[in-house]
Amino acid sequence: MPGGLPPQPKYGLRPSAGEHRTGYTPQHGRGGLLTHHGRLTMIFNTFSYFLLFLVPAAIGFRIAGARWQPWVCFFFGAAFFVFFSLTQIGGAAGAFCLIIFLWESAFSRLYKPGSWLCLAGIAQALVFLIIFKYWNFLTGLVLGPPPQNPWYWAGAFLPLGISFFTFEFIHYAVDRYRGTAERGKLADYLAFILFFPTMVAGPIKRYPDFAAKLTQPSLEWAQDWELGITRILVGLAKKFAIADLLSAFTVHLNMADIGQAERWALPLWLLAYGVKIYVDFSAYSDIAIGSARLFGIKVPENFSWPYTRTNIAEFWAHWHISLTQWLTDYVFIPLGGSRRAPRRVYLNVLTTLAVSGLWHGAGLNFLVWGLWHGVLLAGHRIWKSWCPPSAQPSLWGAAAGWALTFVSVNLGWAFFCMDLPTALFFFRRISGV
Amino acid sequence: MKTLIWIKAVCEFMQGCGTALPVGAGHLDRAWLRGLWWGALLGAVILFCGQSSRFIYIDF
Repeated sequence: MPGGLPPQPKYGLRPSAGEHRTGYTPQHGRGGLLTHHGRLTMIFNTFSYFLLFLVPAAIGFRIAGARWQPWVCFFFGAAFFVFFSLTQIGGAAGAFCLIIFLWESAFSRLYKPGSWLCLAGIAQALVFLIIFKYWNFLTGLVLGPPPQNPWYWAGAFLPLGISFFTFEFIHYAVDRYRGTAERGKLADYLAFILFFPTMVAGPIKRYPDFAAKLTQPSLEWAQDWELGITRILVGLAKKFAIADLLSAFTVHLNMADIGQAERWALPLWLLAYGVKIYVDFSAYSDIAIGSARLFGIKVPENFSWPYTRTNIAEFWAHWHISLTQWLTDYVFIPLGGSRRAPRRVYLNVLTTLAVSGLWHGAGLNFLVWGLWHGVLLAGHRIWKSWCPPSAQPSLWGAAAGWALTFVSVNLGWAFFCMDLPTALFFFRRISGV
Repeated sequence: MKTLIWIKAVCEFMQGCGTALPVGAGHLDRAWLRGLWWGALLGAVILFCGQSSRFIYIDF
């Protein structure tokens, strides 16, 4: 399925602009279409995924006895990690990182309620994440860009799914510490960690929920495969026929093209990115959820019509749902949640969304994106505190709320898909300053 | 509003999210319609594949 990248049409550019393009093709502020090793990173939209992993694993899982089912998940999960690390992300060093995640899994078996080992496990997971994801960002903040930064890691790479491994390791450590999760069997836990349909980009699972479904998967083959295949096909069609086509517009969100563009084109490019990121990520989630369904396992939903929501709190309750719930349970509530004085609650909201922003990427633009949403959510809380508790918005009120939410969220994407100077330049151009 | 909720339920059924169709759409739950829908989706995939980029969230 993967192919080359054809030349993109120049929608909204002045006629001469193409000659001055830099060749820089930002997709979401992380450095373009290529990984650190110069390869296109595709997993769910490859034949290898379906022929080598999904179909054999799902059939193997179905025909294996209950005792062996978790081991089927573990075996195929480990093979998936090694195969896609070697061929797409990180190379041999990336594949070697499986040892790290197996070590973390083995360490997790030591957790007991109230034990310091749970806290050590959380710290360990964060250290690995910081080393691989934030090393150059953090050392760069202190020591400056590469020529002046002796600690710069030129060969930096991101192990496959490290952010999502970290979420699940931290969830298990915290819940074991609180005593709200059982230890479970080793095989079940390894299957939970290495369940490949959700390994790379979620949805983020919870161990008690997954273990229950793993031990009692749905036995309705026909219905599961019918729904799973439908979900996978819908995801692939959304990715190829909508998200990838929108690249023709979003490819222009870079300094050179913004400088050359007609002003009317700029909001359209940003809107295209807003649609693209929704279609792209929900397509990914569709394929992950559909793939899990082939095993007879229902994993959490990630999206529920977020762009139809009439306020920012509702938007976040329906956008990347598994992440929002994770951040609520493991960042917002430990900070004190909403059971504190209003100012402290606003600070908790801002901190949680700042963490969300920095998790999305090691860059100041992601921090600004997170804080933008934090400000919107805090503003919504203030607005709610002024309204009577039973007040229901009128139809016009709901329409205004929807428009405000939609515009605010889409303006925020500017900080998500462009680095900070480019995003600020974008807003200067759009406002004519 | 009821119409919107009805459309949403039909869309979710077609997406493979749910097994139940809303009242008045039961006739859509036919094997040949499902086959037609799969064919249309597969056609879209074949028509548009080959220009693909990575999924945005894949290396977050």
